Formats: sequence, structure tokens, C-alpha cells
Amino acid sequence: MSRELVNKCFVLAAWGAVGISCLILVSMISVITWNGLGAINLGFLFTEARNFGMSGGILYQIIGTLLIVAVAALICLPLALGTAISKSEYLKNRRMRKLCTALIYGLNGIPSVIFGVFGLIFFVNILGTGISWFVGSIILAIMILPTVVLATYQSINSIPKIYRESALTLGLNKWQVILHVVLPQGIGGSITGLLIGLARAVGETAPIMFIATAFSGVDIPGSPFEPVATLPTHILALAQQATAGQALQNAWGASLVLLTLVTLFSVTALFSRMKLRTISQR
Amino acid sequence: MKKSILKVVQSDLEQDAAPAVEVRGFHAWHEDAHILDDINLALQEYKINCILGPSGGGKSTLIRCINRINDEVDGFTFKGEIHFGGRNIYDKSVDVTRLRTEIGMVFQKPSVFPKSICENVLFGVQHLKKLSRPVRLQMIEEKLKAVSLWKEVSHRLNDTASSLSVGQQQRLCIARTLAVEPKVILLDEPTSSLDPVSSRAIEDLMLSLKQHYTIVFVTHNIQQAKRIADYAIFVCGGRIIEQGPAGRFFSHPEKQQTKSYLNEEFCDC
Repeated sequence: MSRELVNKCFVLAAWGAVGISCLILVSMISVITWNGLGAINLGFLFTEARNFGMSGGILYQIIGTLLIVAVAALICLPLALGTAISKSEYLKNRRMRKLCTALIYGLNGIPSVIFGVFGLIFFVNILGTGISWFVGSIILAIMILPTVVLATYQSINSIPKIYRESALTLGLNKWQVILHVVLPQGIGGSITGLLIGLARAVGETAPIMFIATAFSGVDIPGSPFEPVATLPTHILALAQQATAGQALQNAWGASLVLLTLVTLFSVTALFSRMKLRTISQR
Repeated sequence: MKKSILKVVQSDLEQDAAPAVEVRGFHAWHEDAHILDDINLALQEYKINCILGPSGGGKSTLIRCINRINDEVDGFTFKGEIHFGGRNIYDKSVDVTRLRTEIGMVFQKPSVFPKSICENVLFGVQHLKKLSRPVRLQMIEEKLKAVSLWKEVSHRLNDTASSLSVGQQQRLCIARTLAVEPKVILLDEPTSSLDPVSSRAIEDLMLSLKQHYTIVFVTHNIQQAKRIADYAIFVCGGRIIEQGPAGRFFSHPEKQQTKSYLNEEFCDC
């Protein structure tokens, strides 16, 4: 075969791959939108579920999801900043750095259901917290920690050494350099990483289904140690009773709302990344 | 005859004047590489001490040891002493942060922070002491005037520092070092990324600053060293080949390596 032909085949294959990926995405989104739009109206968004989700809306599911995810973000951000800073600024030993990287990737590789089982055994059983949305937040925070740490570390690591050295020669001590030179750059990366992590966390079912959620009979929790209802677990429960037409319809509707939330996080992450890049290039 | 004797005596006196910084038997390694080999050196107070030599000869490592910025480098080890202000700066009791405010440093590439021109001038000093607003404004004007940047930027002090030309940025870096009020200023090839006009501006600046500061200026540009040096140190292959008052160093170098480097910019050490 001539080089020319191989080249053409390669281009074709590459575009084919892009085409198939886009097709999958577009068809999934359109099926969910097509089926979900019918279920969605103001009443669906702003009333509570009744009759095991067969009728009523998903108000408490939306609130529960946002609550778990927001608290997970609050727990994750300081941990991620601290880990990334100590990895880049304090861990001098090359072997320890490698070990640290390996651990972060290792944490990232753990299947989400394992987090759920861990939460169940450690928090719910051993510590006796009971089914608690706060425990769910902790587990989700641990789950997205690697993403946020890596994004933060990358943006901290991209600061040229000369800025740190300049600040040191101007008489700043280590924590002042971290506060005034490293953090302003690193925070952008960690917020982008956080949004990407949250986009993943918001749709997670397995880690929270045993430890943080209940299907029915929940409203806005009065304490950290109460269960909430969330969108992904609600969808799971509705899909299990798919023989009932109304349940399936509501599952589609809830799926569309969840998809919208994920998209919101992802798009915000994209924009924040673009904006922060232009700042650091200035 | 009398005059020339006087001159010799004077230059000897200059050499014997109390040194601002004294390096004694100093060795430095990076991992296994022996970068500095038995450096003995006396840097003269209120003079321009020019360290020259070919690239990779250890000039930068040497001045980076003088304010201990090399401490931050992975795999750096050393042996020997550097004396400043009556004590060894590598002594355990020395406050490194404080030391760096007394021995300032300007790097090869200008490294302005992504902040305004004003904030860049105050970047170091505002963390060292509380400054009232009038003092700040006065300091900004004074330091920018000292590096002859005031006229060029006084109307746009709140612009980002990166909007300045590279030469102006380097002078801004010097201004922010001056704001910390160091006694010694180390400059690591500060003109190597600048155009000739900006380089000359920095050279002139050095000549005006030496009344108040001890200047240690690293360069690989022999002509530049001739123009500004009071005391010259030739470093090559991690060793000091020759050092002395600039007049004698450039007109009558003693060592063969120095002669060949000064004439042909070539060094086989």
C-alpha cells in the first residue's frame, strides 16, 4: 500500500472515531431529553415525591444531591490544597514524591462501590453514625480528592521556579511564598479540578446508596446524621420498578435533571479553566 | 614615580579593605557533580565585584550560595564557610529569611509578579514591616527613581508589570530588591536577556548604586565586566583562576588561562 493511501486511511479512521463518539453522546443526550422533557414541569421540580416516586416531584432529591455535593466540595478543597502544596513544596525526597503520586493514582483507581462499602463498615457500623448524608459527603470528598489534588498540583508545578526564588530573595519565608506566590496560582487549578470532580460526584450512586440516602420519607435533614434523598439513588429506585409507566417517566425526568447538573459543573469547569489560563498568561 | 607608587599602595589598600563577604574553602556539589572546588574569595564593600567566566563554570552556583538560595535546590550539598556581617551564614543559628533581606538577588530573567507595578515594588518589603500609605507611595517613587524607571512609568503605576518591556521589567526587579534595603545585591547575569540599550542602562545603574550597596555582578560578557568592575574574579571549571582589582586584572592578568579567556573568550580549564 502506498504511503498516501495509508495516510488517507488513518485520517478516515481518526475522523470515524470522533464521529462514533459524538454519535453515542448525542444519541444518549437526545434520548434522555426526549423522554425526560415530558416529565419535567415546575410541579415536578418543586414538589416532593409521593407514592414511592410514582407521583409528585423530585424537590428533595435535588436539594439532597446539591447538599451532599456542596459539603463534599468544602471538605475536599482544603485537603486537596494541603496535599498538593506539601507534595510540591515540602516533599523534597524524590522517592517519597513518587510514592505520593502512586498513592494518589491508587486512590483514583478504587471502584466507587468500594468507597460505599468502606463507608458502611467504617462510619455507619464501627463509628455508629447511622445512615447520614454527612458521611456521604465525606466519602464523595475522598473519592474526588485525587482529581482535585492532581489538578492543583499541576497548576502549582507549572509556576516557574524563578518566582519562588524571587520571593525568597525578597525576604519572604516559606509560608509567605506559599500564600502569596503559590496559592494564587494553585487555587485556579484546584477549582477547575473541583468542578470536574463534582461533575463526577454528583452522579455517583454506588458510594452513597448504603450510607447516605433513603428512598422515601425524607425531607430536608435537620442534622448531619440523617439520610437524604438524592437524584442518582432515586433514579435507581424508580428504574427498578420500571414496569410501572409513571415510575419510568419520572426516572427519565430525574435523569434529565441530573444530566443538566453534570453539564453545568463541566461547563463551569471549562470556562473557569479558560479564564484562569488567560490570567496566568497575562 | 611617586604617583604610581601611590596608586599601587592605593590599590593594595583597596584590596585589603574590610570585605563585605568572605568565602573560605567553599565546595559545592549537586548530587555527584562537584560544582565549586575550594573557593576562597573576599568581596569588596561598596564596589562592583564582577564574577566572570564561561557558562557552566559555577558562577551562578557561587553567588546563589551567598544568600543560601541554593538551600532550596534538590541534591545540593556543600562544605566550607561564607562570612557576612561577622559570622558564617551557614551557621545553624542564622535566620535564612533575614539573611536574604540583607543579601538581595536579581536573576537572569526578569521575574515580575502578575501584579501591578506598585505592588511589585512593595512585594518583598510589605511582608517585612508595616508601611503607612504615604510611606508606601514615597518608597515606590524613591525606588523607581533609583532605577531610573520613574519617568517612564509614573503615569501608569497601576498597570500590570508584565506590560513593561523586558529591560524595564529587569529594572523593576532591581527596584523591588532595593525596597528591602539590602546591604549586598547579587546579580546573576542580569543583562543576558536584554537588548544592548537596556543592558547599558543596567550598567549605568550599577555604577550609581555602588555608593550605597556592595554589588556582586555575574557576567560572561568581558566587555561589560571591563566597563563596570572594580574587582574582578575569574571563575572557570568550578575554581577561581584569578582575582584582583579590575585595573590590574584586565591589563596584566597573571595566569595564562585568564589571558586566553580575556583575549579569545576561550578557556580550557
